[in-house]
Amino acid sequence: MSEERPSEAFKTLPFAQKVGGRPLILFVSFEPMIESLVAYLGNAREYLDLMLDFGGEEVEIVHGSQAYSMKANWKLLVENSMDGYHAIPTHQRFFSQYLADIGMDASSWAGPNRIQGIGLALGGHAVIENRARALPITGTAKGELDRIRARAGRTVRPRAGASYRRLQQKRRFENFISFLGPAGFGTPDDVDALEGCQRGFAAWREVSWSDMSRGMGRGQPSSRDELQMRAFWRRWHALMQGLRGASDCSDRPEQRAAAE
Amino acid sequence: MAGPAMPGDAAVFTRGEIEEFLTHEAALLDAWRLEEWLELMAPDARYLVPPLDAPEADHRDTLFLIADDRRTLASRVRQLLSGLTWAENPRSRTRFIR
Repeated sequence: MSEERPSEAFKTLPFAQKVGGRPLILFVSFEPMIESLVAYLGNAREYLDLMLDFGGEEVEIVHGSQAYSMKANWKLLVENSMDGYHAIPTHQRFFSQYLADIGMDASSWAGPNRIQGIGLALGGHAVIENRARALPITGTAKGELDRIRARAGRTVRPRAGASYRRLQQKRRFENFISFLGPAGFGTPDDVDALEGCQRGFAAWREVSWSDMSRGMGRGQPSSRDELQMRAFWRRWHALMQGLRGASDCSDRPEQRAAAE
Repeated sequence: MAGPAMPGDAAVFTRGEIEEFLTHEAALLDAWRLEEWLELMAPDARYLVPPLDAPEADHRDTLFLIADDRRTLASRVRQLLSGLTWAENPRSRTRFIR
């Protein structure tokens, strides 16, 4: 079948009209009249550059894919990825049980001393900006990782580098599957919550609006407000209206005034 | 209650003993006696579930669905018993295939 004559199948694929970006992140569009990538990304480009400038160099693709499904609209998963308040109640078993079990201090993530960021609407791009904080690295020996990292910084030896990379990969695997995936300690609870939301939305005739107004009256909403989610929904709405080009997805003054 | 023969006993297990052990393990899971089930695991036990697209892979260079060691397994048990694991309320049913 397709294994025998792959070229035939490829002939039916449309050609990419525009390709842009930088190493590690490529943007492809099949729309010939699309706006330039720089215009599309706008101020969000700075965040992608920062991300890649600090730590994007040694990307490695590993085998083993994880797939799971949920009975919920895809936009709920986007909301889930960018709201600043679901993590602690939804992921109680991760924050209050698992992190405690492995001796990890989660106080910068949960509780009164948690670090709080700001939410931004950069065009249609939703951004949460946080002060740098320790990731809850969930490997078996965070101290070991820190020690090896320090040593690797001083001594340049290919062997040490190789073993550091292997250890780092082990930690990344542990970090990934401790939270993500169908058997992780985080994702299944997200799926459970999103399917619950989807069931709730069956009441749309009685309750036709989903309230995303949190922080609308504030000059600079925090990451626990919902500006970044409004940005996503406004952008989605603009695209559904057939709007081309950039759209302002920030809170407009009259909306802010109404909220105040 | 006389427990089943444990791995590590310096004995050659009979088929009957192995069957009894597996039945005992299954009964513990059915009864959701997870702490007792955990006690069956050796200190260096690994609980590995490979990804569906690489079932023969090595967990050291491939992302697995589950790659628990004894400590992670113990935490998994505590999480399941904590009442905070929303996705497992009600809990999954177990099935045994021989």
